[in-house]
Amino acid sequence: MSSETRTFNFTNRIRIAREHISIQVDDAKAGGSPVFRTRLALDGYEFAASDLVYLEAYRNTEWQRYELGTIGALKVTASIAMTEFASVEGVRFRLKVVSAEKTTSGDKLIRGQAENIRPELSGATESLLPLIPDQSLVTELWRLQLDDHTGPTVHVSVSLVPDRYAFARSSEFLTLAMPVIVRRILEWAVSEPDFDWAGQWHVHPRALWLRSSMELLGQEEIPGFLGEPSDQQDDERDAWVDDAVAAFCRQVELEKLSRIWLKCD
Amino acid sequence: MTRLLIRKLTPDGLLEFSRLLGDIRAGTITKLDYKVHIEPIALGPRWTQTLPGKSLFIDLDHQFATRFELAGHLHPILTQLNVVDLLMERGLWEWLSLAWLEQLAQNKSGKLMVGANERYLVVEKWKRYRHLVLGPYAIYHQYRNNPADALCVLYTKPAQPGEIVGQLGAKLSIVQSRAVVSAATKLYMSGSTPRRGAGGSGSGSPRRLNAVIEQLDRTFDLQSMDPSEFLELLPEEFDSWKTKAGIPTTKR
Repeated sequence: MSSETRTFNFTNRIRIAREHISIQVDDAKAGGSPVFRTRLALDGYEFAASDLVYLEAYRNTEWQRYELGTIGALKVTASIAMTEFASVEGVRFRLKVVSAEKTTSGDKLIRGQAENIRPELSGATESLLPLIPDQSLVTELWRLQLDDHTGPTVHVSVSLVPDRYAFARSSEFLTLAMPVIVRRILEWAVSEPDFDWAGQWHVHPRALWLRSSMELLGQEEIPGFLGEPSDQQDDERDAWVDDAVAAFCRQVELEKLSRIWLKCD
Repeated sequence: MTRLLIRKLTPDGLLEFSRLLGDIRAGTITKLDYKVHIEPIALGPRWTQTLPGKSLFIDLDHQFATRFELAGHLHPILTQLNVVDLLMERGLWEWLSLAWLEQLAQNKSGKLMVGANERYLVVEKWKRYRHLVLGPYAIYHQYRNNPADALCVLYTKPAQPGEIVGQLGAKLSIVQSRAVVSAATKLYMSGSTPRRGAGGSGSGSPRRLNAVIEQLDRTFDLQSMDPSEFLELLPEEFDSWKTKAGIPTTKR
């Protein structure tokens, strides 16, 4: 049985589709503010030419509004400074089209809106291993999930771990859990014999993890065991994973970190 | 006066602080002793690190009567810190709540009690307003040109934010609208104290204001209004509060 979410809109407010809004942000340079550039395609909507267009950046209590003119005369600005924000971390945008006319229903009526718009961050890279808060984990602190669509994710118990980012950056997690996690992910990444490495090189999570490990190892060529099958393939693959995990441990200075909580000093 | 150099908790320090909160919650610690329970974490080289730039200090003994006083005390100090994004600085807000834990871990009768983790640790984004130091500071900072406008969400004791803060501080459409916050302060506050009945849930109460704003925010651009325009939109149930505040009621 399929389920369908039905919503009602009694306000006559027009929902502005995300594909008609593009917001690109550059994080703050030393001493400055972040800036954003926007492209709006609002021609296809039934707004009045005099309707006012506002873009709002917000993050919890922080909020700043930018006046973008009217539907009939949108202000085209190269980039706008977000002076109320010191960085763009966690900032979302809201686009509002507001009636400039006083109507029988009142003043300052919202004619159209789009909420919770995540901007594109120039030059940004997403984490290769996102931390996902998980309500269902009640006896384990964390669990690794491997998925070809979303890539590897570490699910962290909401009830047992108060701060998943602090947990994941702690010496204990980095030294005890991360080498095991990296090993498991790399074994998964290179386990598919018919994987199209060339076609998926820049997009597939398996390829992204392979590339990241090759960079750590200073390798430029795809490891030989991923080519034609051979008798030594399994041994070569295991050795490559061992080397990559060792390189990861060196990079995070595992020995130094472990001394902190083992109290060897 | 005990001056303490402002630091921030490391990821390991955050876990150690959450262990301390867990011990208090579990009853393993029944009386907080600064030297025994707080100082080792707040000054420990493994648990904390110093912040770049100028050395800045807080007064450990300062007892804050209200959230407003706490935020007003911190604002001129923290704005001198040389960090990229103060409100997003990991470990700083937790360190501040640890340093002042003795006054932040109290129930109404002054007994040791810690509530949910988000009161001391900055956990999920949408719960940041509940943090007992970051919450009032962020509101104060947003209203820094006239912080008294936001008194309705800052007048309570730091450790007991209370009903009005719970109702009004939780909703983005409220705290992001200067008109709404300023109007709520006019309605529910008389000087620096709440009007009688402001903590209730009846007609015209902050709880009802929260519900009414939920509707108004879908129709009207509250962010472009001034407080008097917003007050005019409120239904009749708020008239008695307007009268108490000396605001003319709207002819309907």
